[in-house]
Amino acid sequence: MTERAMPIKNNNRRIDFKSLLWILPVLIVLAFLDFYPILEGIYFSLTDFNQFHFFNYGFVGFANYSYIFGSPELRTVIANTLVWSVGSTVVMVPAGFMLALIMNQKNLRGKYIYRSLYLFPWAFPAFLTILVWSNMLAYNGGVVNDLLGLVGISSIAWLTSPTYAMFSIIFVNFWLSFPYYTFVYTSAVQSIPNELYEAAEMDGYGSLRTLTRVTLPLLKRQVAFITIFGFIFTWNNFYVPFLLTGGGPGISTQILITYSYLEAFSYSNYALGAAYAIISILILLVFVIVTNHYTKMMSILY
Amino acid sequence: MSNSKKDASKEAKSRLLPKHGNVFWLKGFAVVAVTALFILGGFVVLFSHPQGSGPLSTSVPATSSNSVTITVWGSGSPGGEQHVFNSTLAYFEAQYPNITVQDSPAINVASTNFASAAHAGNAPDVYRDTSDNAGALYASGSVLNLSSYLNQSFVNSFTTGTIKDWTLNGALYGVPVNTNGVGLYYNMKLVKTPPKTVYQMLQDAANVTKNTTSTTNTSVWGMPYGLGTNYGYRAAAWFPAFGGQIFNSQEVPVLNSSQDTSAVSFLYNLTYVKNVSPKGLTSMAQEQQLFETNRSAFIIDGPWDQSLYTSYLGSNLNVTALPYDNATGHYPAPIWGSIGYFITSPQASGITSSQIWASLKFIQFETNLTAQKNLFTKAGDFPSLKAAGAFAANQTASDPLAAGWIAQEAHTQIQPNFPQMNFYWSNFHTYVGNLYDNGTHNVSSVMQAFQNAVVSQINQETATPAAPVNWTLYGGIIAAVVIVAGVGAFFYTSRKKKN
Amino acid sequence: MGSLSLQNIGRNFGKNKGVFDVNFEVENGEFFVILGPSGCGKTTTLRIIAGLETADTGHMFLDDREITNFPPRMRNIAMVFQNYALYPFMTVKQNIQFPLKIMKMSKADQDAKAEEVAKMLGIDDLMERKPGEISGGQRQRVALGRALVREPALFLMDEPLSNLDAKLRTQMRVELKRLQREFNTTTVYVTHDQVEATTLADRACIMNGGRVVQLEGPLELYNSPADTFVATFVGDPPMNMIPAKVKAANNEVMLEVLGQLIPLKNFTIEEGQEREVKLGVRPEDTLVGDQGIEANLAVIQNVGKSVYEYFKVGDLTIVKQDTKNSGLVIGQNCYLFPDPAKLMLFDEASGKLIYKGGKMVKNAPTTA
Repeated sequence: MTERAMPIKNNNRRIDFKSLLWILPVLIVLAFLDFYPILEGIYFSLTDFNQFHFFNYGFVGFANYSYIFGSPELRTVIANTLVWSVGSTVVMVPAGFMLALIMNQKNLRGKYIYRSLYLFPWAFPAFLTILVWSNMLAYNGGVVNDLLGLVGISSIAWLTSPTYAMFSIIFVNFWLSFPYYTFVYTSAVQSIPNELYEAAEMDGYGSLRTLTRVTLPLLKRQVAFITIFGFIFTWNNFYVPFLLTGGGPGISTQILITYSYLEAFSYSNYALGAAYAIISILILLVFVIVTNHYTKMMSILY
Repeated sequence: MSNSKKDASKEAKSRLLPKHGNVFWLKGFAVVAVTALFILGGFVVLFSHPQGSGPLSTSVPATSSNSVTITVWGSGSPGGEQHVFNSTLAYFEAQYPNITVQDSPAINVASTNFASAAHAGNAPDVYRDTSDNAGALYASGSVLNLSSYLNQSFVNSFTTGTIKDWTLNGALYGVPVNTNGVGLYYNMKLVKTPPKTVYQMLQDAANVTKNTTSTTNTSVWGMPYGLGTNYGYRAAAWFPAFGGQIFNSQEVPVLNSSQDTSAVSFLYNLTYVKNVSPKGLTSMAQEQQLFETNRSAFIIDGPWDQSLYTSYLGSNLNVTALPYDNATGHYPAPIWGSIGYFITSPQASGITSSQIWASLKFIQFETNLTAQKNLFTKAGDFPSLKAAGAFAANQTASDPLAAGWIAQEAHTQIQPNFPQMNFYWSNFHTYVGNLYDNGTHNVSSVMQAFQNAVVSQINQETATPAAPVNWTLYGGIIAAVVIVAGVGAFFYTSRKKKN
Repeated sequence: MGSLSLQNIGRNFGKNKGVFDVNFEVENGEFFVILGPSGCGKTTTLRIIAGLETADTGHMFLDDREITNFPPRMRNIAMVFQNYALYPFMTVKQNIQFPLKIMKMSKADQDAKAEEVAKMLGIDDLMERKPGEISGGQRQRVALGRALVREPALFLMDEPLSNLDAKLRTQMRVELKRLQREFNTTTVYVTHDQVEATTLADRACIMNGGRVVQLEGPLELYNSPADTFVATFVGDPPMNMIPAKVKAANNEVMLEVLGQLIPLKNFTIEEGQEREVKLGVRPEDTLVGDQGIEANLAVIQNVGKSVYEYFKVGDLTIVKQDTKNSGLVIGQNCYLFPDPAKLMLFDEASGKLIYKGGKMVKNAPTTA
């Protein structure tokens, strides 16, 4: 029956200058490590900084951006980036999740052995793995084509035909990264108290129904966060396309980040490279804001 | 009973939730702080960058006894080159006890590190790089013009070709230490006599390929050539064979010319028409592997891989000049490039006059006759000094491989070292690579697209802004964005506070 | 509602851990408590009944149907977990309906059923809240509701009150008993709290080291513990245990305890013999008198309705409980003696009860 006699008075609105002092070091570090490079990147993208104007570059406004929006490559590169990011995410994230569920089975024997084993591809230096894959996928004498030959399928140009190159880099990326997602999900799956599963088991829920009715709803936020994080990471994942196909054949596996590198360092057009990077960041930013609006996935960080 | 329970739990709930005012106040503060930082940062960025100053004229002392330290990026490949570099360096430091050399051997030629370092003013004083990279860096203002520092007799002691290679717009921007390019290696087990003409080379290749068995693993190919794999360095040799070139004398690309199209068609046909090369080659390593294991007759490559091939093929290895094209009446002319030492500009490294003096002494030492003789015997580098060249020819008079290289040296093109050349390599890879991988494109349309891409990029980079920057416009845009963001932040936070 | 029967149930985890040879019957509508310290195997027994753990040996029957190897969902048993196991993303209503969702039941029936159960539990006004938004006691009710809504043949509870504070626990104890009567559910309840056992149970069994030590009504556990373990485990503060000796000499049977001789009636022992025993005296049966064991009062604990006095006798501590203060001050010496009618004697070697209420226990082990 107690009515609240008085509204709780909020005394926390007062600015506490002492507390600002505590976050000042972080702000300073952020300013130098985060804001400054970003600002410099933005500034470079508005100049004509390249090998011809190396020291004497100047402000050219949005000339680089209009050049990019007028170039026929942009659409292809953005499409490639989307195919690459979405394609990788939709295979590696669910695969990691499934494997995490399997690895966390109560009755599974030798869990620790499997865990060490599937950590292996991830712990192995990625460029060596990519080198091995590039040999395995070689048109001539590659293991994959040799095996296909045994079952009577003629050789496929995995890395050198525009049809298969994107598929191949997504596959290799999948192979490289799913252990990481398995690990991330393992901790999420382990955070669920066992009783919740047992209660469902006693109520007559089978493993598939438990997955859809208990596990997935419990991990909704984590799944959303990991998926979006995986997407962002893949979007900027440079080394797989760069080392495996170098963006080729043609520009069929060029993604924004490799194309930015190509412009900046192969053509020494640093300003154009910076502009491509800024465009990439902006697309990503819009994507993250929109998805966060719908999934509230960032709330996991609060 | 139930009512009070409800209230109690409501209160419990409100205690669990964050304090509204506090959080939103922080949010508002964050927005303002970030905006302020951006504006502040913008000013820092705008005013902190060097806005183009001309090269400083520096007088260099003839001698110096003050102690001086120079930084060097040696960039030699591990083994012979680094060994000779180090022994020469040790001798140099003994001769000039007042000069200390700090070497970073880990950095390769054509490193992107150099551009970043030079832009930040942290470049080394001396860098060893290829002539074309150094040319682009010279054009960027990162490299010192050595013409006034080196006397004519010193310059004359080098071969004309290598000096020309290190000269751009009349300025000598580095000192060559070696010279090389590609030739035609052949496996004497598969081809007895070297081909003298292109026609003969194709015949030999076809004969070798014909004799192969059907399975992939044991196939022997006449002339594996992954057209898309090498960024056009090897392919450049074939433009002159068809009367073509990459850039004309006005430094304008002519890649869509009928001659260049014919050259690329010829290379393309090796795989798709003559069938003397396997499809799907993705790297130079795959060509090399075939050649090393007696599964191919020819490979176009440079002397830097000679010891590798010798270790596999032994006395069966031989090299000859790329053969004469009897249909066009031209020789193929591989790019004859050179690696050398250059000194960075004060803008790129903050080099002082005494450091320039020390650097000049250092690069003269690293390129002198003793060093080049050692490099030839220990690392197989072909010398750039006339005297060292004579020494090499003398040493290898009876060596058939050396004879092959000397024959090739007669038909070469000087590596174009103007910065526009930069657009050739990666675009070659993108466009011609695509052509090669597909096997379906039309060569002349690909060459046209290649030409367009290079022209468009040159125009984009060399263009100066058409009109002076309208600062009022940009200032207005920035101000508008800041005002909108600030007002938005204010309303956003105050709206939440009411709840 | 059903009756449960466990026959020789065993589950060996190795290293002498697990449960061994558990036998008991739970009758229809009975509130059966398994009591024991942590690690005694009580929870394992419960999980074996639930089917979450499999038995290595033995048989289990529910309403004369053997369920030993049935998967949990085919046993028609509901369980309330120690930390409630509510789904945080579901509302109270959805949590209660969770077991019904899988049954072939119309939505209206599900709602009606959940509503009915919630009303009985007094949580019908919380139906749209999430578990994170309600108090511990309310969560407890929701967990009960989820178990009740299925109308299972058997109801299992694993220390359901241990996460509540002391006051709420007492309240919920009464509530639980009321609900159990109302629904008439056969219940197996696991706890380490003997007060819960005595207040809730129709019958209780005490487990120790994976074995059932004693199975009786809760008062019998208190009044005639089978051995020293039960004697000290049941009762708070625990029964005083004092090493003693029964001597038969000069046609008199005497209990020698801490140098004092107390005459014993009806103790079967041959003349001239001695027997090592443990004297067990409940704190409320410890009396102060003019003679007896000399003791020194160390601590007085007054909890209102009773007073606990802790005495030192050498290394031993003896507790005395009374409704009022004995008038002694701390540090004062006095003489303690056991109420001869209430004292219990336990066999020194086996720990079994041999003498109680002034006479030998039936079938008590004779000499060790």
